[in-house]
Amino acid sequence: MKKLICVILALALLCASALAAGSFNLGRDFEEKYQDGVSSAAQMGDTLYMLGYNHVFEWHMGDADVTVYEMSTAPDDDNVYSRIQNIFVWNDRLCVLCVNAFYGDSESRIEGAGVAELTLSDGKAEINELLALETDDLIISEGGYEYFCQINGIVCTGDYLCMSMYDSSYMPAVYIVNLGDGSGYFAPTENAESVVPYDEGRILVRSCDYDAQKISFDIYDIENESLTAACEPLDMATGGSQAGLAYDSAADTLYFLSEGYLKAAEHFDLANAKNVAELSGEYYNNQPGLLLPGGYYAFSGYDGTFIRSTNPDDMMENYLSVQDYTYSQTVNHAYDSFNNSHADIAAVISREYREDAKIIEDMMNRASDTDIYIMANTMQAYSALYDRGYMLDLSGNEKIREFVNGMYPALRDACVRGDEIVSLPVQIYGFTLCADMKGFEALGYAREDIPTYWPDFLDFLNTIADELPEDGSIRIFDSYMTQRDARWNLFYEIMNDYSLYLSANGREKGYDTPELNAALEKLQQVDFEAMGLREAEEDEETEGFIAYDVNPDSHTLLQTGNGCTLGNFCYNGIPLLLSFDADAEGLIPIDLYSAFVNPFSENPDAAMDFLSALVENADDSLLYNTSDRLNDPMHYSGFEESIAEWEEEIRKMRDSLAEAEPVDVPVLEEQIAESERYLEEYRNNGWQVSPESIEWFRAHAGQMTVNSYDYLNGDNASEVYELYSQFIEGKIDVKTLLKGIDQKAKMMAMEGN
Amino acid sequence: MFKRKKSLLLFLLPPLAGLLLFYVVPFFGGIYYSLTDGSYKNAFVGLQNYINIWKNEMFLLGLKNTMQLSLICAPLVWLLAFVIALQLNRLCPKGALLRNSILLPYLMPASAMLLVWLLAFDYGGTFNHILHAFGLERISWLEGTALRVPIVLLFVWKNLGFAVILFLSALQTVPKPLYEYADLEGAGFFRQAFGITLPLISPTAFLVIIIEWIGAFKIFREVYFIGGAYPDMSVYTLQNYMNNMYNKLNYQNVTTAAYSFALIVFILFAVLFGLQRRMQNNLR
Amino acid sequence: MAKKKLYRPRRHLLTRLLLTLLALVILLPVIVTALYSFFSPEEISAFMQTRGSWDESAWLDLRLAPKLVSLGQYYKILITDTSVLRMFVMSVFYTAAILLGQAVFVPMLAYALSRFEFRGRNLISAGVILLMLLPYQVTMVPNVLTLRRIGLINTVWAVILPMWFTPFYVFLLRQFMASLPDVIFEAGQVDGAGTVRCYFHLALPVCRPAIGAAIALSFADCWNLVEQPMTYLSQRIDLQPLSVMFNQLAAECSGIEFAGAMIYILPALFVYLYFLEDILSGIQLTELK
Repeated sequence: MKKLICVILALALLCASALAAGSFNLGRDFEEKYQDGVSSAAQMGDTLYMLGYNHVFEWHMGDADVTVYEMSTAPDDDNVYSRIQNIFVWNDRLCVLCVNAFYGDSESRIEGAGVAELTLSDGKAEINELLALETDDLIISEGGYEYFCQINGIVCTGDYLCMSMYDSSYMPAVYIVNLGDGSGYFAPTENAESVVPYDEGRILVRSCDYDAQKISFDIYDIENESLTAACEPLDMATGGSQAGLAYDSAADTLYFLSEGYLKAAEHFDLANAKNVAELSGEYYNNQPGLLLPGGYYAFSGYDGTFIRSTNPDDMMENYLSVQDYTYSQTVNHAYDSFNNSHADIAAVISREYREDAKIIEDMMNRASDTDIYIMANTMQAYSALYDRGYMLDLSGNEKIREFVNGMYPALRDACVRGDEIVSLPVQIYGFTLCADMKGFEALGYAREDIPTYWPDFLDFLNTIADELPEDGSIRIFDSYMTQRDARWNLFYEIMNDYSLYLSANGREKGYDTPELNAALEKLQQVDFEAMGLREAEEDEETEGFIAYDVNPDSHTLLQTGNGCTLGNFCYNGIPLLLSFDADAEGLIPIDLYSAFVNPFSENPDAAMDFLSALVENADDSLLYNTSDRLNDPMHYSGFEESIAEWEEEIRKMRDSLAEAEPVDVPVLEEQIAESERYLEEYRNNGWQVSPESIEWFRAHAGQMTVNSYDYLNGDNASEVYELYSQFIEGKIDVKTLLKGIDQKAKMMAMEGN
Repeated sequence: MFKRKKSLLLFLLPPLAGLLLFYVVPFFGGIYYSLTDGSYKNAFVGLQNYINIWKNEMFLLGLKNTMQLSLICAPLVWLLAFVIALQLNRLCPKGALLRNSILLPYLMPASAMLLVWLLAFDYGGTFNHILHAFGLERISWLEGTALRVPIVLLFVWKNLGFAVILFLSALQTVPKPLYEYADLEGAGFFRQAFGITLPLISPTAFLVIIIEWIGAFKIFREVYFIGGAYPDMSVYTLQNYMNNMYNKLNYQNVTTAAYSFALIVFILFAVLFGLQRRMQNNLR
Repeated sequence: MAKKKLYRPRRHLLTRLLLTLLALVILLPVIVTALYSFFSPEEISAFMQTRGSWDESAWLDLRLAPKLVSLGQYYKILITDTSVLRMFVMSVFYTAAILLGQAVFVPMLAYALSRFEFRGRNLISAGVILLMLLPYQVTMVPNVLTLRRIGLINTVWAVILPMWFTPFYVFLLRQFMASLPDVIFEAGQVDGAGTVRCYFHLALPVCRPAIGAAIALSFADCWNLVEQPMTYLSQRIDLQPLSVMFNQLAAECSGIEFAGAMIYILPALFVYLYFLEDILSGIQLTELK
């Protein structure tokens, strides 16, 4: 009983502190619950409306949850779809932008666009068009296809609608619509990325000039069509980033999101902006933020809606700063569960790019600003920090220890330094050359007939090029590829495999080796013309879109850069795993993103907690690929529902068959048979993780090798790329190419770490 | 010579404190640092770093190249500066314009200079044009051992002016009548220069060689700009090694390499000091 | 001093000719830089792209005149990008602050080491020489740790304070002061001047040429600071001086390097010419020997 009271008290305290801290997250579960996410939001009084793809979510301040309204996305009788986007408030009416589009087999048309009122009742959202827009400036035409321009954000002020968008040449622009008559024009802005209300009749425009490396804030007066600068332009390199803008005209304060915080800048003094709250969403889109009554701020991103108090006194005393490069769900969930279970400290996730040199300098300076880093193992900073032991020992945490020790040896080794566990995988995937075995079988080759040794394999390509059927139903590479593309792709596969081979056999070997020479010499002899590939891309304009071949009997034998880890395993194929050793199969390339703790962190215990939250929230991909603890095949999400819908559809067709005129029967029967065939196909192939891929992966898990930082992907990448292009263009031969890479790569290896 | 203790402390203590804090303490701190494993825990490893470094081929290569390059650069600048200063001194005061113009390169920032150098030493650039005009084969200056030529020239070009000015200021202290006397004696230019003038200005001459030598040890920016972090083997200097180690967060190797190098430099300069002392003593 | 014609005019002429030629060769890259600063950024970038051709028959044709005389580079640096101006101010600030501090501390130590007799003098002098010869990297890491401990890292003082005590200039001045004849100080003492008065009224004025040379050298050092701001101010880009910007650009040409070089060099040149006269027309040291 005592215990229970304690727990209840603790929970109450937790909730109280969460409220006091003035932060609230909504819609983290929309994806799971409704297969929907918020694309834009609007606010009316103390109510927040969030627009999804086919839902509208309503939230009143103070409520624990949202009210959901469903929205129909079905086409009308003429097969015209109404796409509902960008919710906003006009004259106290809840409105949306509504685009009517017709999608045919070989054409698409925009039938029109307008502003529509949204009426919410009984769990349904109804749409009534109020005003049609002049759409001439807003439609992109390409061949027979018409698209509506992408609208990033909408601001309604007075009787004007201001849209930040990409215009028909995909350039950022601001478009002003007069809601009196639906006419519109482009505002005289350049490089405008986002717009927010400034005051009555004026909007604030944020622009990024990538040529001059400047970010500027301007105020646009709609009536007078005049643009004035709000402040000195900021340097892109030093000015930071500003997302989720919201401007409070009464206090002359600009709110924006940067580095995991909500910041407030008075009088546009952005350099001295103050953190007022933690806010770690994925806010790299150009959506504006919203100011709610009572000093609250709301931002809707892809992964939910975040409400924060703008009062800095509501901030916590302590924050755990996480630098993340993955955008993985594992991190998002860990963030949620960490912040929900800690009352005295909150995690802040920053996703701003930081240079390797900066991270290394921070370490030398013993900076404690960042507590946890989550980055790719191939980054120079990761390799330096790992080699030098600048990662906190995580072995003390049982959850982490158990998870890491349970991983495949190759992965575990990448996380262990000496006898310490120093990093924790957060994301894992691998890409390599894959083969469509059905296609090979159709040509009369079994898996054993395909050589695994790179030079032999390249010879083999020449052999099968001559055996391809005349009708083009089986081809070696996708038909959209040119000869140059194919050469590049194969070359990259060779170089990637070789880098992997070096990480397994010691980088001192270098690149000018008989193994690599042999493979590349063979690549020079591959006859890409005989494979029926186009020579160049000159005729691309006239050819238009290349229709995707859905014929089940047609096969593309090779897919470069295809997935070889569970969850994104190559569709109807298997990885080939080519090698540089005539007698053995090659390696499975593994790209890891790992989390580790800054040894100078001032919150090491909280950091450990966050890492164990990462373990607890490890996503399926991690569980499948790091060990064999998860072995059940998995269907795509919504698999059951899709099957049920499909069956329902077929049942309806059968019903109509009974009542059909005799002349229509054969056509209908044909349709039903086709639907059933597709259903069967989906039933068999609707795997996120298929039993076959699991079987293959478990059998080959021993060949996993983790990609790490090396000469080819470091600072010298541009220099190396230069050599690569010359080689592909035929300007230099294999010897020159490899000599060019080899000496420097060897120097780097010989320096040691 | 003064002997008063109180006023000595007044002059000695404030600068000495700064010197201790910003140079001596870090110097000894650095020694300690070079004896640790360089992880954030800084475990003591004794002389292991020194042993590792002296076994590392790249360190040895960098050391060798640095020594070679500095042995080419420093004497070259020294000699050229001495001869030019002598000539300018004769023209004094009308040589002011010339003197100022050769100082200009010293103030040029590296970025623009690099671009000019890249143009001049391009395969189709000015220098190959000149070679071609004389009927010689083109040389790919920016690759292989030939890369040393532009680098040495860049160093000489940049540092010549300063050395000249140091020499000039010293030459003004040489009494003119001495030359007249030497002229009457029929001493040639070289005998005058090296037999009479040089011993008279030997402290400055010594200073110049030190400055230039230290400067030459630091040849790096030029190499880095042209060749990147891993330039051709022939111009890979110790600074390259240290910079790369720095980027690998291997500070104890940076420090160890620096101390190893410093030790060599100390020995070299101790010998030079000795020579200069003897030269001065002989003069007295 | 009476001016005498010491040499035959014809030999003079040859020397003059040779020196002028040499000066021209040395000046050529500077002239080219000045010339290219009036090319438009686009033209200069495009021109730089033509480098690196290995074609045996092709030559890189050096442009001697822009298609259109353009102030584009200057405009870009001075008007479009205000950060250059800020960095320029920082450069001036660092240079002034460092030189002022050096003017206070360096001659003091040199004076103490050269004109006083005390135990440990030679040890300190040797130490100064030793420190002077140290490569920058030796003390870089420990220096960062020291500066961090006393809370100066990422402040302007991290760059300024250590420079006040640069051993090289102590060595330079000590050498000079030590070579001064004892007689003048003895004369001062006879006149009743204490050590402090001797310092201000004898040592400093007499050392003017050496101090001038030291200032000239140190000015170049300060104006060209690169490593220190980069390591000690790594988290404060707003405190970086101009030298960092113009000395760390990659081989990729962004089209504004030449105008940047001109803007960078002019103030330095101005200060230089001013001080040079001071150094070279300073007191005739012969009188002192």
